[in-house]
This record gives sequence, structure tokens and C-alpha cells, in this order.
Amino acid sequence: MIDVNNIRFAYGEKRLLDGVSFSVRDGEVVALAGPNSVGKTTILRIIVGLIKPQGGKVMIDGMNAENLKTWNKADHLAVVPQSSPKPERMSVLETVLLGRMRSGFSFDSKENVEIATDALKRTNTAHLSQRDVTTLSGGEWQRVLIARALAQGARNLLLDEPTTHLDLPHQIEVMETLRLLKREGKAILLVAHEINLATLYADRILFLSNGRIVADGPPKQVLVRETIREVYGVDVVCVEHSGGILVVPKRAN
Amino acid sequence: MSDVLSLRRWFKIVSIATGVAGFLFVLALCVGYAPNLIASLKALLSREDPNHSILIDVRLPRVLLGFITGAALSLSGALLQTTLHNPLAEPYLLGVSSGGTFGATLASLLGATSFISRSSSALAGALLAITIVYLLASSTYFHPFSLILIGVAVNAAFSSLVLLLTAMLASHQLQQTVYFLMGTLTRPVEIDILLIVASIVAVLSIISILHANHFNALLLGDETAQSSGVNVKRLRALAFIISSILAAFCVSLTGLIGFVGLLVPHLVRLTFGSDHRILLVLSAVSGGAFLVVCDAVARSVPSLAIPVGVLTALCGSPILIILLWRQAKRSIE
Repeated sequence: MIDVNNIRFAYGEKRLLDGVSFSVRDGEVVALAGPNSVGKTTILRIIVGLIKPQGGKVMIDGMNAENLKTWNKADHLAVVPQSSPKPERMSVLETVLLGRMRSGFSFDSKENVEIATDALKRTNTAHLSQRDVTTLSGGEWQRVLIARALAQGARNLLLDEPTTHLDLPHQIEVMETLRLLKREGKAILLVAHEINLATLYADRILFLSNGRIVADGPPKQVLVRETIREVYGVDVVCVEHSGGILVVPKRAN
Repeated sequence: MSDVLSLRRWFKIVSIATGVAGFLFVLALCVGYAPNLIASLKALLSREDPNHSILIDVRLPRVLLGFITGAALSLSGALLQTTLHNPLAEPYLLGVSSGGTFGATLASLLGATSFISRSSSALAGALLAITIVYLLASSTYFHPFSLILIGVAVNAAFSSLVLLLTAMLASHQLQQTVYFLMGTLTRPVEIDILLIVASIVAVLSIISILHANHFNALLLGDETAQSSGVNVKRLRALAFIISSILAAFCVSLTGLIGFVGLLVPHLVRLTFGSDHRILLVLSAVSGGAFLVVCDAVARSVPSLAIPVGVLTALCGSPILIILLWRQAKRSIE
């Protein structure tokens, strides 16, 4: 479970986050949406501990994130970054084993290889195990990164725009993987650019605008014309489709 | 699984690499004196041979200096490339070596000729350069091309300062300094100093290798590493300090030798992969062997004492062009 309480953060004079609060419960997928440069990735970096907020605190599984030291953090939090470089001459299995590094210098023990293989199976990438990562497609690479995060064994998963640059089949592949992980009881926070895809898979959508969460609720509740206009400044039509909401932008003229 | 690195396989790879490097070391030691290699080997093994003392007292310190410098520069490059997420990063291209040279030249100008004062001054210069590069590059989120451009600018600034100081040197110091700026292993270094530097390089290598897992975590980005339990800021600071110390010692002893830190880690990565448990050890060992071989080649050209830095630049610049081309291609894709 992730609890973000009253986070405040500014880059110099520019106040980016002004009292952001939300939570992600176990077995829940929450999509964080909003315009570009509004601070979505900054929230992720604060949760991870790369950036120190100027106010507020982050609780992970009931513990203050600041007190989670070194390898202990790996039990609670795993990240799938937006665009990760593909390491030179590294197999898929070796990449997934990077999630077991807290085991020490010889982190690729038989036990860890079994854990990594299991993570590959759960993300439907076991057949890629011996492939060089530089030969993978965008969708395959994204699923391998999710497998690495699973091999870490953390209870909470953060994903930064995991479907960016992917074509539609690969987007669906990645989101289906997240649906399976939700069933396993993971708390999943997803920074999402593609709102329509997020509505199909997220239990809740959070809209970040002007440093605050301006809407927080199930897709059907928050995806309304007025909210989209407030957040993005554009006119849209929201229609029900296949049990979800489809956001269709209107042409300017 | 064949591609998983067991401790046994690690020892095997490291032992083979060390063996090959040792062979090249002995080969480099023997090249150039006696009529042929066999005669040189005999001279090396026999105390009675007239060439024995030349090989041990003159050639050995030079080859040892080359090995230490190559290992230090290569390890420094490997650490910078990982922590800056940039395969083009190395102490020479980022201006760290120029910063060190500025410090060392300033010490010479002020009359401080001892190794300790020169290397302390070089370390201050190298740390100053890497701090400037880091502060400027962090504002561009370490974008590969921005980082290199910042490195070029810092390099140019410190090189200009070095030239300014050189112009102020007395004429008897001038020729030696110019040769020093080209990077050379011809400068005699006392064996005690060599052993001290070798010990420092070995200790810093061991510290780096003990952090190999942390550097592995950085392969997939800062967020991944931090969530895996690595303190990214602390690790980056450690890598910068180690890289600067290594570059500063190299500059104090041999002057500006470029591209070793770019070329060797890159070739090791292409051959053995990105796992830092292998990459760091093999970069150090291969870097040492590479510079020793370059120096042997430089010595072998009759009647022309080519500074080894010129030769490494000749080898390294095409690799830099290839790397830049690959980066540009990836950006377009």
C-alpha cells in the first residue's frame, strides 16, 4: 500500500506540487494522469526517494519511506521506468536477475534463477529468456522490465508511462500483464498518458493539475467533460463503451 | 544456465584475462632491447646477462607505469560511463584529465615538484572539473550529447588555462611540459612512488568491484536502482571521487593520455557484456595491457619516439566517431 500525504515540491521558484495526497491500496491499479510537465514523474521520483519533498511524507506498507534503508526498500517498492536503456550484450534472464541483486555478489544463484524464471512466466516472456535484450521489440522489453520488477518481489509497483512508444497490441499486452499482477494483490501506481487505455484497466484515475489532485475516483466518475476541460483545457466527448468510458477530443473548429 | 555468471565462471574469466595481460606485460618488457625476443627473455631471466639490469631497472618501471596508468584510466572510464548512463563518458573527454593537468601544471609553476604536491594539486583540478561537468549536465538530465558538449567545453576551458600556465613557464621547463601534455611514459618515476600508486589503484579497484552490484542496478536507470535499495546519489559521488583520484594520479605521472577510458571499457562491454562484476575487473586488466602494448608499439618505431598519448588518440578517435554515430542512430530510432 502506498500513501502519499500532502506532498509539496518546487523547482526553484516554480511550485510543482502543492499538497498532493492520495493512496493506492493492495490489489488496486491507480492511473495518475495530467498534462505534460505537471509533475507526475516527480511524484514517482519522490515516492522512490530520488527527490526529497519540501513538505509532506510518503508511507509505504505503513512505514515512512525515508526510513526504508538500502536493500530493505527492494521488498516494498519496484519501479518500471519510462524508457530504460538496454544494456549491451545482456540476456533477458540476466536482466531479470538484476532484480535479485540484494542477494550479494553471487546474485544469480539457483534459487534466484528460479525466481527470475517464474517472473518471466508471469509476464509471458519465458520464451525470450536467452535472447539478447538489444534484439527485443518495445513491447517485449517493457514486459521484461516488468518481470525484473516482479523478480524483486516488492509488494508495490510503480510504472512510468509503460505504454509510451508502443503500438496497440503491445499496449494491450502490457496492460493485461498489469491486470494479472493486480489479481496477485500488488498495489500498482501507473503514470498514464493514454487515458482511454487507462480507463479499461485502472480501478481509479487521479488527475493532477496545478500542483494538486483535482479528481480521484473510478473512471466513470472522473472522466467527465468538465474535468477534462479543467485539466487539459480541451473540449471532449465522453461516451460509454464496452463497460468503460471513451474520451473523444473535439476538433478545435 | 550457460549465460548466468557463477563465481566459478567469474574466477575463470578473470584468471584467463589476468594471464593474457601478464603475458603481454612480459612481452612488452622484452620488446626493443636484445636482437630478438628470445634473447630478451634470456636477459630477463639471467642476472649475468648485460641487458638484465637495463630491463629490470629501466624498462620494468616504464612498463609498470604504463600498466597502472592504463588500468586506472580504463576503470575511471567504466565508472563514469555507468554512473552518467553514457558510453561516451571518460576522464579525457569530460575534461577531468584536463582539470588534473591544470592542477599539476599550476603546482609545477609554483615550484612544487614533489609527487605528492603535484598529485594533490591534480586531484583538486580533476574534482573541480567533474563537479562543473556534473552540475551543468544535471540541468540537462545527463542527455548524452549535452554531456559530451559540456565535457568539450570544460576540456577547452582547462586546456586554455594549461596553455596560459605553459606560456608562463621558464624555457627549460617548456619542452618537458609540452611532451607531458601529449601523454608519455618516458618520464622516470621512482619505483617506491610506482608501488604506492599501484596500491592505491588496487584498493580503489577493489572498492569499485565490491560495489559491482550497485553499478549493475544503475544499468536500468536511477529510479530502478533507487527502488532496488541503492543510494544513487552516494554511489554516484563515490564513482566520481574514485574516477577523479585515478585520473589525477595518471595525469601526475604520465600527462594527458586520452581515449583509453573510452576504448577499453567499450570493447570489454561488447565482448563480455554489461555485468559490472566482469566489466570492472576486465576493464582494469585490459586497460593496463592495452597501454603497455601501445607503448611497446610506440617504442618500436625506429628513430621516432612517439608519445603513447598520440597512439591512443589515433586508436580511440575512430571508436568515438562510431559511438557517436550509434548514439545518433538510436536517437533517430
